[in-house]
Amino acid sequence: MIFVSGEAGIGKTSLVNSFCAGLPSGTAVHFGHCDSLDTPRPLGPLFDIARTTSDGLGRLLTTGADRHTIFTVFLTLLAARTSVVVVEDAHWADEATVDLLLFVGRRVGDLPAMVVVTYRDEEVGREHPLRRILGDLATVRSVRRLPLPPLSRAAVAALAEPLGRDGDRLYEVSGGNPFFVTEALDTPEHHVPATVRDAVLARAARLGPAPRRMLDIVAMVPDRAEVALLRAAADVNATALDDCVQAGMLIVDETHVRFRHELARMAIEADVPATHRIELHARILEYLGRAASADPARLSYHAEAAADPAAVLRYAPAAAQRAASLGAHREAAAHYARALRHASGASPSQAAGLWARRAEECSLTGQLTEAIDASARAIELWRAAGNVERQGTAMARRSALLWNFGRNHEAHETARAAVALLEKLPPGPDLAQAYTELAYLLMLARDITGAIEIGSTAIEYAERYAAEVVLARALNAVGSAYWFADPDRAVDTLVRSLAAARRVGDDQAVAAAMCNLGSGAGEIRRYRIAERWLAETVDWCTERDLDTLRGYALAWLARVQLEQARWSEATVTATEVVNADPQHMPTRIVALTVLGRLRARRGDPDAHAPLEDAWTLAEQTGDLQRLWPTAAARAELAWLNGTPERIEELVGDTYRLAVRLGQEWATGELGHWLWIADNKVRVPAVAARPYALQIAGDWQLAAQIWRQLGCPYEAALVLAAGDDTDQQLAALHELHRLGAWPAAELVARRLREHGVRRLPRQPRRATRDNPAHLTARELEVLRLLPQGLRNVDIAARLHLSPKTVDHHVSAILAKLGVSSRQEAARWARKAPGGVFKDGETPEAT
Amino acid sequence: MPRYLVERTFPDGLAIPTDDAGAKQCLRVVDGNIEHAVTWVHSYVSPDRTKTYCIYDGPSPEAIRMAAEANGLPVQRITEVRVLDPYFYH
Repeated sequence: MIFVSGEAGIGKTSLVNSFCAGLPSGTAVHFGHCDSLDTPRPLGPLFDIARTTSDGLGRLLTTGADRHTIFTVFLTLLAARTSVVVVEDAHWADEATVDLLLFVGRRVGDLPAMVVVTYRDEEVGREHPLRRILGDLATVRSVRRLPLPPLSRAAVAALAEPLGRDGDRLYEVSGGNPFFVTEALDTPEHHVPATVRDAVLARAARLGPAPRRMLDIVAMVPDRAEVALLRAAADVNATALDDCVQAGMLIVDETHVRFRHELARMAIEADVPATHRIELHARILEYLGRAASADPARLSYHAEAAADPAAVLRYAPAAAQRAASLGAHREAAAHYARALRHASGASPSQAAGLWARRAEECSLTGQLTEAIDASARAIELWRAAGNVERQGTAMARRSALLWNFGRNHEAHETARAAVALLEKLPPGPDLAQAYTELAYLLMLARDITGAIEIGSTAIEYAERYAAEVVLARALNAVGSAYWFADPDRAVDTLVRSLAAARRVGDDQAVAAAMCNLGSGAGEIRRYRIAERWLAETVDWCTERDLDTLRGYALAWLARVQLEQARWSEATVTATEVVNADPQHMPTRIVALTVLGRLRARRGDPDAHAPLEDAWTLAEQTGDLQRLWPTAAARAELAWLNGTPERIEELVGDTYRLAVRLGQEWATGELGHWLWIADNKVRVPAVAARPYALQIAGDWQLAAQIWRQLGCPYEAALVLAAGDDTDQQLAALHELHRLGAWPAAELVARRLREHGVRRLPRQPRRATRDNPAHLTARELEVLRLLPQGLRNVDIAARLHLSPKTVDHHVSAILAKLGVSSRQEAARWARKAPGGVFKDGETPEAT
Repeated sequence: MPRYLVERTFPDGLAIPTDDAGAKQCLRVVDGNIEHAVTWVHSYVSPDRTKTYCIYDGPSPEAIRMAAEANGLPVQRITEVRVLDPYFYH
């Protein structure tokens, strides 16, 4: 993927066209244009491309298939044959197109395709969506940037002097802008025009009145004008069009007409008197209004430009709905804003509905201030219209917005007010929604009883009134709460949430259900379930570029790997998360805590810094789920550093919060650290079992439970703290094996103090059993290489993320000293003793 | 970029021949380090060749560990260190 950037007129299109003209025959070339409608058509470039391809892409687009399907089909198209795709003017791209570019940019490296994206860098400011993906794609190897410089003084002189013109003067005025230079050289006058606009208008004036009328109407259509439209809306004949084309101002491609350059279009558009512009837009609107397949985004644009409020109110909401259904939420929000600018003639109910939908779209694009403002207006208008159901629903939705904005207290109040309002009416989908939002807030605050009680009623109503979107969210709230009351029901309930989200095609809700299946199971140390769902979340989100939840699931995966003492994997996973510099605070807190704990347990330098950063962030949330793991990590570090007297100060407050909320694992872990610091401490019955058993002196059963849970480090620490010398020596051996030398040294010192003389030497590493020093996980990956599987397939088999498999494959290549996976596969076939288990053959695995 | 002292144990003894093969072996480690932005400055080896003390520059202890794993090298302990030059004050 190549990003060609530069100012307007710098020659991006000329460069790309000349590149495409020189391609070997048989290369498929597809062009897609982003247009300068102030709110662009969603996936406009893809519609253009679909017109030039014969597979099902066009049909998918018009039948409203979901985005993921559309993107995947497009990728299949790129995989089918050698091709070049050009996306022009991406500075005007709608949100869905920007997402498409990110999706393709991350995957194009494996395809026989080249994607060329042109954009004007001066239009891409800091907040521009394109800026985000340029950052996200910065480290992708198959993505390159090509900024175009202006012509040099010498180049301008070389063009000007053969025509007897002043090259120096032209360079000073034009700054070396190639479009300006060619326009200026085309004017017969010997003076250099002062601006591009002057140059363009001079050329247009030479054409005469009829062609000029043609230019005027084409200039009103910022995307491209259909020939049929010109025939219907312009009172000019075909010769006028030919004249414009011959003069090099317009270009005709089959059925559409456009300016050769956008700068020329803008110059002409600005030159048309305002009243005449309105008249032209009205004619265009009339034509498009009769055309069957016109995009509502175009209608809405011309309706506003024709100063026709009734038409705006008709077309803008339709354009918004279409944009939203394709995931162009930023554009949807803008269309609602346009409709609302012309809503003075609308009824309160109509206006309220527009504000409510604008609030939803703004919240989806992170415009939280606008969303909160819009929701307030919706609530007020519904109240004025006497529509209590809608008023209550709008309040319920507002409570979630307020929570996202950190206004937690107000969020709870608003959710309760919505419930109180709607409970006065007969139950319906609105009440289901209000209960759902309240239940979600209670779950997040770990008021488990309240969340389950209210959430269950929400589920009942959502089912009764067939409100699937609400149902998915209600089931998520209740399912997530069940992890801390009845974990088996948590799985059932969240799987039902997942199914409901799938039925309505809500990718984000599917990811949210998967992620809470994974992180919830992880929080209560059910690792098999946790890993399965976290891996699924990562895959699902990777395919759909849902980066926030992907990062959170990866951070949790790192935590789960750490807790199972798979420290090498945890290192790779946590580093990937932290290096991506996530803005999502919960993700940062989880990943930094994992990193700090890894360093502490292996005695690596600087365990302190990531834990302090995590703690600062966790304290800002005030949530137990964020505070507890970081507090425990800081206590562990203090203990390993030989300063257990600091533990009470580090975990005391968080421990008391955990006890108050009756959270068993938090109470157990934090209580256990307080007991390590002061063995007179006792913990309440709610404390998780292995901790409670250890504190009660039954270290043998405690260690057994830790082993069953899959936590060898904790098991070793418990055995080491017991009173059986053989078990303590075994624990020491285990700590050496894990590479946990700070804990091992503490244990060895204690054993020596108790008179044990013959301590075991440090054992050989497990990886020394095979000649290439592969880890167990790398061996698993290597075993799959001879089957010619791709990384994504290996990832699916081993429940890893493709990125992790990527790391493993690189490590395998490096260790074997080979340069390709084929060579590694050959190595594996030749050395079956070292790679394949007894009775296995490479093909049979 | 921090500097680290990396202690490694080779129970069977480290064997790097002083010929082309040895040079190749060392360069392979250097190549493996590149991906993790880690630089191997130099090492001290015990006479029985079972312990090495390697000076590395790298962005983080995790990078040191991932590079070691990619190269199939053991890591016993990582300590962040700074240079102290006794003749600096003269």
